[in-house]
This record gives sequence, structure tokens and C-alpha cells, in this order.
Amino acid sequence: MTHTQQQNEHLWQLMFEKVAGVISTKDLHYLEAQLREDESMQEAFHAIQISFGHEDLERLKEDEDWIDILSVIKTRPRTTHQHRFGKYTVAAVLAGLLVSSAGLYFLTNRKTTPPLAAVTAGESPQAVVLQLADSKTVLLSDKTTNIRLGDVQLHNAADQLTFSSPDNFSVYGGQHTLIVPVAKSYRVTLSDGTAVWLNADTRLQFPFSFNGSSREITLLSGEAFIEVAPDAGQPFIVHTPNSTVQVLGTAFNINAYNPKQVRLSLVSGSVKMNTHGAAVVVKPGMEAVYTPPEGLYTQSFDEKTVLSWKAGKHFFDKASLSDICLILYRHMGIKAVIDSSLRRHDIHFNGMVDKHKPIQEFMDDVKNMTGVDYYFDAQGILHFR
Amino acid sequence: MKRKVEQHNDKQLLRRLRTGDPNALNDAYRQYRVWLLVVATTYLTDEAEAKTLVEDFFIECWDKNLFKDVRVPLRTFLFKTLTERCKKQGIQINMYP
Repeated sequence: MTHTQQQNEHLWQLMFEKVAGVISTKDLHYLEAQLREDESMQEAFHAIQISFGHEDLERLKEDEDWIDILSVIKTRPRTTHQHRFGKYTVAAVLAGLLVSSAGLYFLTNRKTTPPLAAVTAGESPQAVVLQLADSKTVLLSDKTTNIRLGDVQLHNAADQLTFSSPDNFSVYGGQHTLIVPVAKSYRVTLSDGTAVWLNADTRLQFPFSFNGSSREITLLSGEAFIEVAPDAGQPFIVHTPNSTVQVLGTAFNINAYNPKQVRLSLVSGSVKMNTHGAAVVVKPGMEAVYTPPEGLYTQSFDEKTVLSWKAGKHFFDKASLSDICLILYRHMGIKAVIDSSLRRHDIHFNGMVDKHKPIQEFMDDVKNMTGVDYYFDAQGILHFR
Repeated sequence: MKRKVEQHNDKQLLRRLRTGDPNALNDAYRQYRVWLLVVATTYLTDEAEAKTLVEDFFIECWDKNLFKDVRVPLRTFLFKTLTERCKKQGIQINMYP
């Protein structure tokens, strides 16, 4: 079903009215009838409803948070064109339309707490967010969304972000941070075509365009698999908390979950890893491990095990119970604890967990192999006992 | 403090606004500010910024006597004008089917 732009805009108006509880009965009937016929509008409506919960609305209704408009307008003469802030101009009332057609988008940062703080505080946020250099935050939901930031067009679809920007753009420069929460994974294609897969609980910093003599991104924490687009004239550099990796057209995995042990596993091409005072050139099939203060060394690695996270799997190699707890949370968002009654601390588990399979399957594996039992409590927290 | 907001009929409200009744402005403001804040927040992403915009929007409508020429339903006017303003100030959102 298609609508004219004007009808669409009116529907958006009514959807917001419904969410804020000011819609009239007659309009509500009209809106409901339209939503029944238009799936994309339904999705849009759902999105608005999700982003404004009952508690949010109740909070917004609080009187004291709002200015007393009567006292403002009575304290000064009329038609003086004064503003508390002079930056707004009179809008041309009927010019242009904001909402051209239905679809789905999500923009947040309504909360007073910055999302980054929420992430680092160990909470488990649900969605991937892009924190812009100016601290504005764009929520990248599971649904397909197109978001325009000045000249930059963001496209978010199927757990992956692409964007396009003109060569010379002035706004939204600087480094933006993509934050992937626990239990999610995400992919971003950078402006040069380099593809970056991000594992759960990962933060990556990148610009919307590489303007300098080199292409530089920063893996602040977590794990990434990077397929660098070849460009000999503009070397690609990945910064991690303790090292930098310089590459020329290559595919590699870099794990910086633990800043005290950064692992770079090379699939193809050639990379040079620089750390404080040391450097090593890595060949395909080898990985460089940097563990300050011991230093830097290379060893071979198993590609299937190291890259399994891209397929939603994690391989354990002589893992302790606390290792398992950490991975279950990071990989699947499952909070797990070890009951103090459990006496055995010498457990070394080998096996694999698949986030697309029921967790019970994995837990039964652990139980059968180690003899350690488990249960879920009323809060859904997993206990080893 | 939260008070029950008395519901005002749009046509009457607009008539009173046209005559320059400050209480009508206050009534419209109280009745529709949360709705318009929801709209503005969606466009601007920052709640504090959106709230300031909504407050300033009502003040400016008053200052510039904008209600006088409104020939469309009040809510349509408020929605269109406010979204227009958000567009100038904030992130633009393109929505595709």
C-alpha cells in the first residue's frame, strides 16, 4: 500500500500522538486501520514504542523539569523576537517534509548516562551503538536502517554497517567508536573497503574517511578480524592498547580482550607488529603474541579455533571454570558464577560452545567431562556447583 | 510535581491562541510538550537539547504570533513546524520502505 508524502507524514504524527497518549479516538481508529495494512509502518510504530517506555514518558511529564512558560512570556514584551538562544529561525510552516516514507530507525542518547559508561560498567546493553566524535550516539538495531549524518550516509543492515561520505566533508570528522555489546557480533566496512568483523564486547575506533597518509583505526578492546583493502600508497595501521600493527593488504585476527596479551593471527598477506621497543614480521599461519613485560614472540595457530567466533563458536583449550564464566558472558550474555561450595578448582575443560545452540547442550558437555554440575537460579544466573 | 492536565479541545485552543491569550499558550504547552519532546528526541537524539528546542519553540510561536495565521489543525501545525525545526538543527533521518 502506498501513501502520498502528506499521508505518510500525517501517519507519523499520529504514531507519535499515540505513543505520547494525546491521540483522539477518531484518529486512533484511523491509525490502527492504516497500521493493519502497512507492515513497514507497523515496524516504525513499534520502534517508537520501544524507544519510549512508560517510565520514560512518566518522567518527561514531571512539571519541575519544564520551564514555566507563562513567567517567561510575561517578563518581556511581545514581538521582540527575543530568544533564550538565538540560533533558531522561524520555520517555513509547510515547507518540506521530514518523514518521507515508512521504515525503521533508531537513535538514542536520551538517557542521561552515556552509553559508553553503561558498557564499561559491566551492564549488558542490548544493541550495537556508534558513538560519534561529538558524543552523539547512534543505535544500530537489528533492523535495516538508513541514517544521514550531515553528508555521511549510514546504512545498517543484517548486523553490518556500511557508510558513504563525499571526499570533502566538514562535519562528522574525527574518530567514532563502534561499541558491540556482549552476546553480539557485528561487521563494518570502512571507507576504503576494508572489512572489519567485530566480536562481542568490542570497541573499535575509526574515521568516516581516511584523509591522511595512512589509514589508521584503533581496537580499544575486544577482538576483530580484519580484511584490509589493498592500497600501497596508504598503509593500514591498527592500534591496540599496547601495540600497533602495520599492514599492506592482508587478512588477520587481532585479539585484545586482555590488554596484557594481544594476539595477532595472520591468515594471509604480511604484517608487522610493533610494540614498545620490539617489532616482528608475521607470516601467514603464524600469530604474534605480545605479553608485556615478557615481550613478543610468534607461534603457529589453528585457524579454525581462532576464527571460530565469526561463526558464533568458541573453542576452549584447557579452560578453567572462571574462563568459561567469562566466555559465556561475553559470547552469549549469560551471567555465570561459581558457587563457593564447589571445592574443585583444578578443572581444565576442552570443548566448544555454539551461541546458536541451547546452552544446556554445552553445560551437559561440561558436566560429563568434568563432573561439575550446574543450575540456573530464579534470576537466570548460571551456577556451577 | 505532576498534575493531571486538563484536556483542551484543539479548535477552542487555537481560537484562544489566535486572540493572544497567554493562558491558551500555557494550556497548549502543557498538553502537547511531552508529545513534541518525543518527536524532537527522535530527531535530535539528545533529550536535553530536544527539551530546550520544544520550550523555545512554544516561546517563539508566541513571540512571533505564529498562531494567528494557522489554518490547519493545531496538532498538524505543531508537528510540522517542530519537525521542520528539528531538521535544521539535528541529524536527518531518511526512512525507506
